[in-house]
Amino acid sequence: MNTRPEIREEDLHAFIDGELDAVERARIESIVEANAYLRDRAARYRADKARLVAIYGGGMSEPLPQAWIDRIETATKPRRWRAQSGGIAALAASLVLVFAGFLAWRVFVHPARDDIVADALAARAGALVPVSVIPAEPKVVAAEAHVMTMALDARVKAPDLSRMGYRLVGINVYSNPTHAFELRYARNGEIFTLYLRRSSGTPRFDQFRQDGLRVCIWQDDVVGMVMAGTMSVDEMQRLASLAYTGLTL
Amino acid sequence: MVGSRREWFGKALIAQLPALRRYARALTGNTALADDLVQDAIERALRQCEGLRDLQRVASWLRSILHNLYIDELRRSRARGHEEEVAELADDLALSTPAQDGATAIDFVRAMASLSLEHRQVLLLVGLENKNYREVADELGIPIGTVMSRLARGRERLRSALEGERPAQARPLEIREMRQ
Repeated sequence: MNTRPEIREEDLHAFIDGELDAVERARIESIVEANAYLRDRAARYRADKARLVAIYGGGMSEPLPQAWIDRIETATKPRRWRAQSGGIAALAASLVLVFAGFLAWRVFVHPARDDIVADALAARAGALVPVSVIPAEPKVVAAEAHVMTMALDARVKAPDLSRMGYRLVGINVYSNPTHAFELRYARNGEIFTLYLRRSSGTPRFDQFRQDGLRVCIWQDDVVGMVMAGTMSVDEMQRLASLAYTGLTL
Repeated sequence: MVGSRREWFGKALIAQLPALRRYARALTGNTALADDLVQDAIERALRQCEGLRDLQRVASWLRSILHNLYIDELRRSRARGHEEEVAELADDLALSTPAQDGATAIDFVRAMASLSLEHRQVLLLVGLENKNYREVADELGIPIGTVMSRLARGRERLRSALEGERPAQARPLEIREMRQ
């Protein structure tokens, strides 16, 4: 049977684009396979779709005009993070503040290193031993935010990534090679880590693959953040944005 | 937070530029015009960055800005009596692809240019940006059924153009309709 069957053109394209559920996909597939006219059309549309990517899909690594970069960087020049306010003083009597003060003091003794990515991945791989492991209990995490604020000299807290399905499962605190915090999130058994410590002072923004992981580093002159997981480039981009948005107090 | 957000917005903007430039080239079929549009989009984005509530949507937000700028440019061009020029990109493609495929690339670029803007936009969002129908509908603010019908018609007209048939005339209302 090579005549034009009763099938909506929209359904044929939804089939090509993988937009149908399993039942509908099987139904359309059987119709297409049984009809030479539809098979030919589907093949041509698929070829056009592939050709579109082949023709327009390149150029992503082409250098951008420096004027564009300069314009954006000038217009969005970093401002200083707000230093911690007197709110911390109110906690002076608490054990949390004692611990925070201790950590902060240690931070000033140990300046940040520059190989933040290597340290972040070592922490994730378990090659670094945390000095403490903070459970993901709301009150404890809230207290830990004060600790991080003291240690990083910036008002930060563990970001809420639940919009992307990730929940905080714990915070590892490190003092070697420098004070740092690894926030561990989980989604269906996948672990996403967000490693935080004071910046070495060199602004960096990059995303790449390393050790089988998708890695994103985002560092300004105050805080360095390394995110690692097994997600796609796009998902890492969204996670990075969400993490930043939720990081500051 | 405001200062930091602006800084991170800048970084997100820079990170999106290669993809925005690629999309602009595919949409316009003209490399010089595409770069002009991206540059204008940067300026508009910097002015309007406070209007972007969700940094995760920066890519679609930038495409929307670029698209509106392109519509403005088309209006100006038509007022001047100029037609959109796709030869430059077609020539670039001819230089960057083997001779045998070069002709195919040029044909394809010209066939894409023959489509209405709304058809090109949906074809590119699905085919080049790899968006699913729901994401395209959300980005364009149109029902998912409209996405499907535009996609089907767009691909059919592209195929007709590639096979040498005269494509259906783009409706003159397309610019007004494309405004998001």
